[in-house]
Amino acid sequence: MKKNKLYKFAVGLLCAVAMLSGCSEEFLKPDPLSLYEPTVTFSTESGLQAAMAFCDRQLKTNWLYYRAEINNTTPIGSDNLMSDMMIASKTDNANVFIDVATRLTPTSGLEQFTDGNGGNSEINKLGFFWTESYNGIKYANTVLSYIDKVKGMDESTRLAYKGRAYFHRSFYYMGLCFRFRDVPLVTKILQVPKMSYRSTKREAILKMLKQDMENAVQWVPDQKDMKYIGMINKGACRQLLIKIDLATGDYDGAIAQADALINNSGYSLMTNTFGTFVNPFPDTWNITRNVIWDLHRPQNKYIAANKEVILDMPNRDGSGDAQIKTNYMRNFLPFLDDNGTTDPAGARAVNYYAESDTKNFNIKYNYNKALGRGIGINAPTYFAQTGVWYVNGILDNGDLRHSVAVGNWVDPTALYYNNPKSASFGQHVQLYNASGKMLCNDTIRKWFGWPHYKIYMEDAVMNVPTQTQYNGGAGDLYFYRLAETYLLRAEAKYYKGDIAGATADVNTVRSRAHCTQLYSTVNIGSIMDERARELFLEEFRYAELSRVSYCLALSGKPDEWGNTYDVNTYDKDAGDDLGKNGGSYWWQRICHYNNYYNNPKAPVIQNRHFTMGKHNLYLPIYQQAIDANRKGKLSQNFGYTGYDANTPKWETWQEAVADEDITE
Amino acid sequence: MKKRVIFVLIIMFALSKVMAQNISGVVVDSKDVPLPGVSVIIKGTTKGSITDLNGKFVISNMANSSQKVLVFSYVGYEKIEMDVTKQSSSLRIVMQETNKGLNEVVVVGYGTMRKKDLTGSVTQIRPDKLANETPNTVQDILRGTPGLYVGFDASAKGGGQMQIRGQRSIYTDGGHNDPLIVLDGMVFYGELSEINPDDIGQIDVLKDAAAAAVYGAKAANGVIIISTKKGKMGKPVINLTSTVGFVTMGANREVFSPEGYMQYREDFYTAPTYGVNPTTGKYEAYQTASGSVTPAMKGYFSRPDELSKWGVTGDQWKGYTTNASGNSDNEIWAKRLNLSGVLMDNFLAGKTYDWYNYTFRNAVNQDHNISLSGASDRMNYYMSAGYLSNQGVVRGDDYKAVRANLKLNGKVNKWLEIGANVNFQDRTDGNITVDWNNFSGNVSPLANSPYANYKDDNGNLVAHPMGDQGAFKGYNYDFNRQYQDRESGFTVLNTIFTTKIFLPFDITYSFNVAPRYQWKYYRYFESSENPDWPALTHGATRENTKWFDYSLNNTLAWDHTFNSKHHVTLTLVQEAEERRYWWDQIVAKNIQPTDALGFHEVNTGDMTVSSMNSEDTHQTADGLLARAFYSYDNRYALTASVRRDGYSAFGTSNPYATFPSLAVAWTFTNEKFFHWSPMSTGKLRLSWGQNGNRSLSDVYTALANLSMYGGYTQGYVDMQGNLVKFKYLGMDRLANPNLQWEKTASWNAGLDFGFLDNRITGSIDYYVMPTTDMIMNQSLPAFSGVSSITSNLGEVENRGFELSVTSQNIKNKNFEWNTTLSLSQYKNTIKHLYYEYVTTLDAQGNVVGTKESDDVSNKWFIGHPISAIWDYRVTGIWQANEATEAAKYGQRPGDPKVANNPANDVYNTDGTLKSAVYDNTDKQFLGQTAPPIQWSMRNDFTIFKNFNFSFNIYSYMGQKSLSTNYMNVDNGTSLITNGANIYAKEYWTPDHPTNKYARLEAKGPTGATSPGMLYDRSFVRLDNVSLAYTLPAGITKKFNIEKVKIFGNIRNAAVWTKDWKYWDPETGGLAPRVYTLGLNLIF
Repeated sequence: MKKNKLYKFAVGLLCAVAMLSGCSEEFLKPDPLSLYEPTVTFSTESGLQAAMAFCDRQLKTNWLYYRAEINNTTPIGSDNLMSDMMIASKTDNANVFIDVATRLTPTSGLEQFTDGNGGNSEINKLGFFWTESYNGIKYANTVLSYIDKVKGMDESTRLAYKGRAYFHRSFYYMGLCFRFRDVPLVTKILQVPKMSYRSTKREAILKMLKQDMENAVQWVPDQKDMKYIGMINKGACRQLLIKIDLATGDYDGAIAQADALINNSGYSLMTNTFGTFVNPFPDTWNITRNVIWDLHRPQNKYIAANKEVILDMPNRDGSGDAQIKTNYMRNFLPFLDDNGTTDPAGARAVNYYAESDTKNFNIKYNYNKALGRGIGINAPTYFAQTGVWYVNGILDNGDLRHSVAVGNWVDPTALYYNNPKSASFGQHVQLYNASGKMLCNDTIRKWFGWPHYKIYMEDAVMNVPTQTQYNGGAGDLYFYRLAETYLLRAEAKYYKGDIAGATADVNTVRSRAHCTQLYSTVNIGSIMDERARELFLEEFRYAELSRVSYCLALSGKPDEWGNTYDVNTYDKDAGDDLGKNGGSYWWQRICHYNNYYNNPKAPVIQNRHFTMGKHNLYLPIYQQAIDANRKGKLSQNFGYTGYDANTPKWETWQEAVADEDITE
Repeated sequence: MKKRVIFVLIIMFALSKVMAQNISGVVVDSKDVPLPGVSVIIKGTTKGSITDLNGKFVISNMANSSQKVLVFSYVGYEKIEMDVTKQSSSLRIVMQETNKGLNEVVVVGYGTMRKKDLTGSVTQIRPDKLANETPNTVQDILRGTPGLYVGFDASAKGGGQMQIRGQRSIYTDGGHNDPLIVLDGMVFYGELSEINPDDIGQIDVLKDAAAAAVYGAKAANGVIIISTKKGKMGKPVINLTSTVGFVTMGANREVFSPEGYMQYREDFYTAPTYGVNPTTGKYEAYQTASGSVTPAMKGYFSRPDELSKWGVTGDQWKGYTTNASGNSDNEIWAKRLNLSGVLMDNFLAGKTYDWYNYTFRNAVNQDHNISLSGASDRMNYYMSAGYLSNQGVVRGDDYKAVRANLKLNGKVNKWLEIGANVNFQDRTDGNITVDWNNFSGNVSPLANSPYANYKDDNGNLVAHPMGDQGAFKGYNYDFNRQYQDRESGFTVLNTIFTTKIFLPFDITYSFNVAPRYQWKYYRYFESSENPDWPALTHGATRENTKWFDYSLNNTLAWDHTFNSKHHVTLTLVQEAEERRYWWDQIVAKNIQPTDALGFHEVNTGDMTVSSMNSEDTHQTADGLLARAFYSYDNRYALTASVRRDGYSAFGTSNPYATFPSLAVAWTFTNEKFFHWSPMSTGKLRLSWGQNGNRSLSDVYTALANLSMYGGYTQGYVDMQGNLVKFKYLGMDRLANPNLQWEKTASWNAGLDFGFLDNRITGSIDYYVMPTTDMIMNQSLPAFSGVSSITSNLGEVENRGFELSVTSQNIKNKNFEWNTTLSLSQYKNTIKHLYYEYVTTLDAQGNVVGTKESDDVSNKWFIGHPISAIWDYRVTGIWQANEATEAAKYGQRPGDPKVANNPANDVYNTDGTLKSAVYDNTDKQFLGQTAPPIQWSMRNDFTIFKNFNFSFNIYSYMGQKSLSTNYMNVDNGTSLITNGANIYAKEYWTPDHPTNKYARLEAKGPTGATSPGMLYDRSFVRLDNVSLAYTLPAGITKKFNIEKVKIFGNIRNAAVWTKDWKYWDPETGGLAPRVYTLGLNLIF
């Protein structure tokens, strides 16, 4: 009896074992619970919309970096320090990035090269323009790779998605082509790893971009037919196509696109005050209302009354996870609240007292909130502060963009000493005392003027009474605006030889800013100067100068000093000779207008010299990218270790695209 | 032994006599001391008795029993079987202590074995022997085991990472190199803190693949089997242990004193003025302009009472700057050193505060445990409860745990045994501590200037110790703490249920299931009442996490002995496991109308800045195992096993893998021809086996996924001007449907030996362990869209040897001295990575062969250890007379000299150096960061029977590390500019030249801007010194107490190292020293 029971039990048990192993195929099936699988997620339009949202968000990171609570250095500032406009100026940093010619190598200088989640370099963010450009390309390629698999989408919507993705991709390739020249062409989302890329020639990439953007202009709707501001519209596609047309020598195409924007798209330059008048701290720094001030208020950028905006990047202050703080004031204002600048009585000149500091705070001198607190990460050159504002040899006092009188521009001498304990309290800030002794120990970092109307951003998050570091909050940014269209058309006309037409376009922009000095005739220098005045912190100056250097060489037209450039050799000149000979147009502007680089009179900081080389027209291809591409070889740029003129490259974009499918 | 039993049995049958009704007697040890609690059982029955406190026992009704043999057993003593047929009714039994180890039972997974039958490499630890050292964690017990690396965790909680026989895989996520923990026979998913060291009966460490193979799936890194205590036959025993520990800083790295702080600032600002004196040619201060300080302003930054050094008068010195009237010399000086506000006021007033003392503390640990245990012939029980409250040396580092254990095992009838083991733990996890090492984050109070304020004049805590102005306002933990609240911890219920059925023909079937529940709670609050914390970015976070894991197995075992010489064990196991995880999070910010309810109310958070989050995972695995053991005549033994495992993370195409093993052993001392008398035991072992590793950072690693990239949103503006937020998704990971098990094979040869009647015992092992199909993140060109993919590639080999020797040096009546020494050494080598080959060229550029490519970006090199240091080599510091030479490298005196490979430098046409290039070809192999050699030594002394003294030393040798501390780059985030303090340090100045430290804000040559200096991190630590005194039994028995023991010990008593100056050599940070006093009572 007992044995019988045992027997039954054993049989039952064996069955249980058999059952368990029998269903194990099903038992071991992966069961993803909180995981978005691409093929599933991107089979619907709402899924693909999430991919497009990523593309759109990525745009503003080009200016701001993608993770910005407190940020020393910004991508836009790092781009500008490679130009005639700015330098790195955090002079107390032993690694301050001023010795560019020696620091920029395939293994050093491209800070922020890898994924930024790991760190946040205070030196520069140049590597960001490689890493995050390719990320942006990936986000666009995601849309392009999955769009045809979405079911039930009408053709015009599908094409609009494609066109927008082309815009994003082309924008990044334009940046790569003019900062890194010949780069690997990636147009697909990988299914299996690929480590055998070759660089593709810039000319070939530009051809692909032209074709893509010509399609995009057809496919992407006008803003007026769209539901949201912040998505790519037809106007933005035209503007990008203008730059591509210029870079491919299609001047008529460029002019046609510009004409379409200026004449037939409902856009116009803002010539009068409009929208909300924001005058944040009139007791401290009063603004006389004017069109330039209104035009650059974040609150006015996206409104319907603004006819000048082509593409706005929404970045509303206080919107939590949708905002990226600009930290513009922190980065681009002089480091005033420091003992290095004193009043004649020896006290600290400008103090950023917190509102809660009742002993010292005075509403008349609330510079922390009214202007923002700077620590001088990037300083403007003499040219950016003063030189460029001379037109026809005259400092144009009418120019609203440089006007201290209306409050658009701040000069340190327009401030007042605000230490209540000091004998100099309430007097105007000065650089020299009565006996001519300088009262500032570091005029690079701690003494310069700035365009308040562009840099000032209110900060809802930092708006607490104890706050003494009003760094600059979030705010909408211009991606494209019509003023640039005029300047791009001027450029096209210049290359074509229509000097009068070019002059008229530049003067249109000047007139709007109430300039008293207009050009009688422009050259490429006048156009680039006007871009500097109009598009500060909107354009990527370095990438644009590199683009213009190429376009100018392509057109064969002379620069403002009469130099002409050979498109085959303009970027193959080495050295950093001070005779301002040779090199590219970019190099010429560095030599003529950046008063620091290679200037024997420039100060030595942290034992480093301000240097820039002709070969720095392009950034090096970072060794890390070359090393990781183990089965192929990327071409290094001229002037950097590893450059080899014979490195094979794809001559056409079609070859490069075909090669993407070859992974072994 | 067996022969003797058989002989006794024969006698028993031969003689048949009327015997006494009652048998009584006394059991003593070899020193004639009565042994209480010895189990006395009539053989073959469950009837019997237990000796009392005087060692006495009585067995009644012996005559009714068919068996006439009594079995005396007691842990730690040889079992005695005695035929009592013709014995007098009053017996005197002398029990001998167990012959070191050989008959100890070792847990080998799904069963046990006698140590003498072992074929694999197993180390056994009995925590009872370490009780006087008050091990705080399981790791403390294991530290010093040969071949086992145990890290040092300086926190209040303690613990430490473990590795058996070195890192086997390049992959490090998901605890990939951690050993498998098995608790009472079931795979343990928890962390070791859940197990009270007081409850542990024994720990067996399975090191080679053959031993671990039965656990196949997860056993590639070895197995640590923990068996908890059981009750002993006899009356209930209550064991009470209470300890109090005093925790102090065992390693220090002070910050500058007020004087040092000012001196540092002077030197910091003076350093940029160093230059070559054009008249004397000497390298000295005030030769180079720095800011507005020109070379003419000698002594500009100098202390006003040291001006004579610079040859300037006080008036000259003052005249360098425009000074307000009434400024004292000190004020002018401090202003030049960029002091202002609070710091200036306090400096002038001489008011200082010791922030080092504020950050660290002397703390108290408490640990109280009580257990009740016992056993009868049918029931075995053990229950315990413990309360632990530990404090770390860092302020705010508090840890508390309550642990309870209930273990029951009952024999229902002849064929059925049922048991349960329930472990409960509730522990705090995480706390608000001072973030002392986060200088760059501006939150370390150590960075506060010594002239910063802790409280204001009214005695209120200040928010900004260094003043309300400026970039670095200082950090006051106590101030912020008023506005913070945190509750977090785990509740764990780990259970094991066992059923064992004894079937005919020596077959046993068992069914075991171990469900485990774990809950984590996390509630954190930052109040916007703190004037620095805007409501938009502050508020409450609430998280709940639940884990539910179970594993179950069905085991059939057959254990049979033929002809008394052939012993066979056969084990068949079927196993399944399932693990689930759920996580929810609410983050509420800008809580309106008030956040006065802390984290208790989150539903009024502002939805535009608040967020919700969740993550769930699910994984499954199963396995089948067969194992056979055969031994012949206690001379030859063989174990073979094969195991097939499946895992859902590899479920797309390769869920299964098979892991075989084979091991043989030969006890040559049992051979008839072996006659060397000094050697009492000798056994040779040889084994081979293969194990798997499946640990991944994420169980869905093989699937492609999309990432929310931080969960940010893209905001669009609609036509009404409203912001509309869109969540976004981006490609994150490529699918790898071919991902599969990583496999570690292992060859192990070992010798177990015993000499002089086993007074000296030990073992030597040599092993070779190649790990193949390594799970690794293969790096890809990031521009292609993905920067890495997890795949199976490469091969890493560990080979090494281990030696452990235990010796009874002296064994007298009043003095005993035992020593255990262990030594292990291993070599880790990357054999293969991606199987991509490049051609090698000779000097003429001809192809002479191929070699496998290294992964330079990950710093993995074929033929080198995983932890190889490959970097620039710093050879010294440029000295004052080398200014010209240094300038060639763009450097100056005080900067590090970095070894340069001249081949890649750029030269002028005349052959002179134009610029030195530092790239990969300048890098060298400098050693490894993992210690290749470990040794430990324990000495135990017993004096007058009542005193126990022991000390334990362990040492890791040969590991190195790079450090950039010597570079003295302190102002990268403007800390110095902003008046912060810094670790007290040495630095190069022209007056204090050194080759060990660079100047302030030193820099390397271009390309090697921040080269680390190499330090030998070898050390020897006196880990523990303990002393215990047991009150004489004669005294304690009067109070009906079986045992009273008082003990004390010092943990981390001392450490010796070579040249490492930055905190502790092992942790690179804190290393607390703990003085403990304890009391142990047994009733």
